[in-house]
Amino acid sequence: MLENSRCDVPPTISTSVISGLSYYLPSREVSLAELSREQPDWDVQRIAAKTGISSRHIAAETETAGDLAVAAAEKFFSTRPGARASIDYVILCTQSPDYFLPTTACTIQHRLGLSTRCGAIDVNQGCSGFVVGLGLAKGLIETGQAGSVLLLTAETYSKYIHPDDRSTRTIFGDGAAATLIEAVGGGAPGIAVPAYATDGSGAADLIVEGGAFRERAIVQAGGTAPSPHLHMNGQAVMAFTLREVPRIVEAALSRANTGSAEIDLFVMHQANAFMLETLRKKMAIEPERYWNDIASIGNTVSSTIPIALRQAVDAGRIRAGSKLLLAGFGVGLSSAAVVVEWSPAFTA
Amino acid sequence: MELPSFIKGFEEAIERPAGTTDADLPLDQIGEWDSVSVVAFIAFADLTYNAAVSADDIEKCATVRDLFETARRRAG
Repeated sequence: MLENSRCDVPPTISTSVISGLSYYLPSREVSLAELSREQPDWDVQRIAAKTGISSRHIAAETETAGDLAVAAAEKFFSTRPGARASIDYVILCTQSPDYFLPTTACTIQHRLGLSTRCGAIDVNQGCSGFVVGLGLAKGLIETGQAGSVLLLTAETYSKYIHPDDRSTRTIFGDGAAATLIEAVGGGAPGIAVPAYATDGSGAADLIVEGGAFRERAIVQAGGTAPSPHLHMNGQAVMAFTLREVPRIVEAALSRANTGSAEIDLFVMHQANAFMLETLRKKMAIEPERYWNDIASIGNTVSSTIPIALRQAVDAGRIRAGSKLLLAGFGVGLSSAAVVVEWSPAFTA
Repeated sequence: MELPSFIKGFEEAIERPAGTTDADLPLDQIGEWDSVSVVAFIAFADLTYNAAVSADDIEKCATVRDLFETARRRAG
């Protein structure tokens, strides 16, 4: 046996379940009134009527995505102190990492006091990142590489956003979530096989073009340095969403051998209220089986789904045995969806 | 897909007073026609006509009639 192999990794094929979840929002909250005072030319009430977002949380100048992820994880451990020692893999999904290198997840392993026999990776993915992370965690668990995976999603998109960019500033908020995925006995309900889709031809529709090495290549070739700010082509993203999300949802239902009628609650990436409502109508899902609530949080990218899950659990909309359809979509452009049967192992 | 019902739906989608839009009205003379309205129009065309209208499609349109023709072309 290898020295660093862990005795708590199950030797046989297991099922992966979500067994715990917490989220953290920065303390600073930017209201519509504050935005209106700063940008008097913006019709913030009209925009909010469409987006469904009345305020959003913004990280402090010195607060990084790593800090938000650690805060979410510590909040989780405060309710499940015993879980800390059992974690043998940490995945951080972020597009605003603390460093180019090292891997921010490695620094988080140390900051959280996780085992040094713990694996750690960063995943650069956006709004589909939570479902992508669930798929990676499932793969690690069900191939016996890990028994307890801490999936962290954390973003500080606010640091990319130009203060005068109406289209992004009125939507995105900062935040983080910590989700524990654990192995249980094979055959138990849990995370089904996800479905993924990617269309990199739309990469420029949601992009921070400057700040990395493409910029150096452009400048060395005599070009103008690209913008360090987030650019979003909202129309193109809407068209992509309406085209691709129904397909990826169907693919995930098919992979789980189930149908739309069997789903108790659809929890999509909480992009904005108008987009969610349009999707709901297109997919003919009743409002009572569809989560649409980001009023005081905003679009927190890869954290919207876990935040919504936690809110739905607290509201009694998700219980042990609930069958959920989760779907993330956006930057890449990419999409991912998965059916999850809520486990009785989940501890609030 | 008829032009009058299209215009009615278009007005609702972009929150423009009913009955105030002529088919040949240039889009740049419509005060409500901004980035928020373009997104609302894409949703309207998709939900009402199953028409997958792209951002590039809309950029090529100069009038409401052009939007109608584009939606009709893209209708599934």
